[in-house]
Amino acid sequence: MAEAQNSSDHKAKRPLSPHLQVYRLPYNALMSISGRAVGIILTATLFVLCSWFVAVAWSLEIYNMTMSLLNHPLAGYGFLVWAFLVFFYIGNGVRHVLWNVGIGLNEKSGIFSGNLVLLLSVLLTLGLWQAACGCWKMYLSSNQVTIEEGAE
Amino acid sequence: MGCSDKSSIQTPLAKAKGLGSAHHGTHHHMLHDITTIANIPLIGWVIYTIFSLRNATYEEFTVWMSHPVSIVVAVLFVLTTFKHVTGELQVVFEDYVPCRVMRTILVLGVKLVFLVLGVASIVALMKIAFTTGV
Repeated sequence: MAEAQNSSDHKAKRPLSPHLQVYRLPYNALMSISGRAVGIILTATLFVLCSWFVAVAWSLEIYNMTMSLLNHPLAGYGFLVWAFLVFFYIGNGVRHVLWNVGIGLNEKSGIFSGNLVLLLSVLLTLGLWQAACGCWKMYLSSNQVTIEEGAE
Repeated sequence: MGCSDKSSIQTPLAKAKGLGSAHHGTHHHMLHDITTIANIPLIGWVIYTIFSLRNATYEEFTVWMSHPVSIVVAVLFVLTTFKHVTGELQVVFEDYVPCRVMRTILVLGVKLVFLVLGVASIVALMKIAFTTGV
């Protein structure tokens, strides 16, 4: 927070904390800063979501337009990506809250909880995907058919 | 940048006065943590809602949103998330925007924008609730 006391230019342009460009980020720092980046992305999506919600509440046309846009197959994947980012951000947030009360505050358990957050986010996203389309079930049953055919 | 930090005749003490620990930092930090925890069930409900309403007609949508539980949870979601988001962005700006004028404008601007959007969202929820009839 040191405000430049004199008017020398280079002093005012020193990198501010947290330093991102002065050294290679270790795992936990990388997780921390990507959590913040995801937070900024989610803030932008929250802004869009809520504005859209306000518009939808007022007009049937906007609702119908929204639903026809959401019929696009890519919309579902967009939702999944968003959900993954939410899971990742919440997981990271919980990690930070636990650190703030002194739980798991060393490098090793930091790496462990970081990996746990990544794994859980992926699993939850896959679960959501499965709930949406039942793809995994279809994959299983189609696999079973080929096995049965092979056996015969 | 456009940020000129001209040397002033203010003494370092005068500059520091009013900027120091005013017992607000802990409050800000605690609010951030509390809203993080509060948002876990709330964002779960939001994801579940979007997921459930993906093929809904307008009527189904308004019936869902006018359910008392939906209204309470949605209003809570708006309050805690918007508090969390403005706090988070404030910290980002304080970390990475060196110019004090620009930083203040950004922090206040974000707070103002999300205040307007928050009130608009809650009014929209009320509108759905009262026009559909609980």
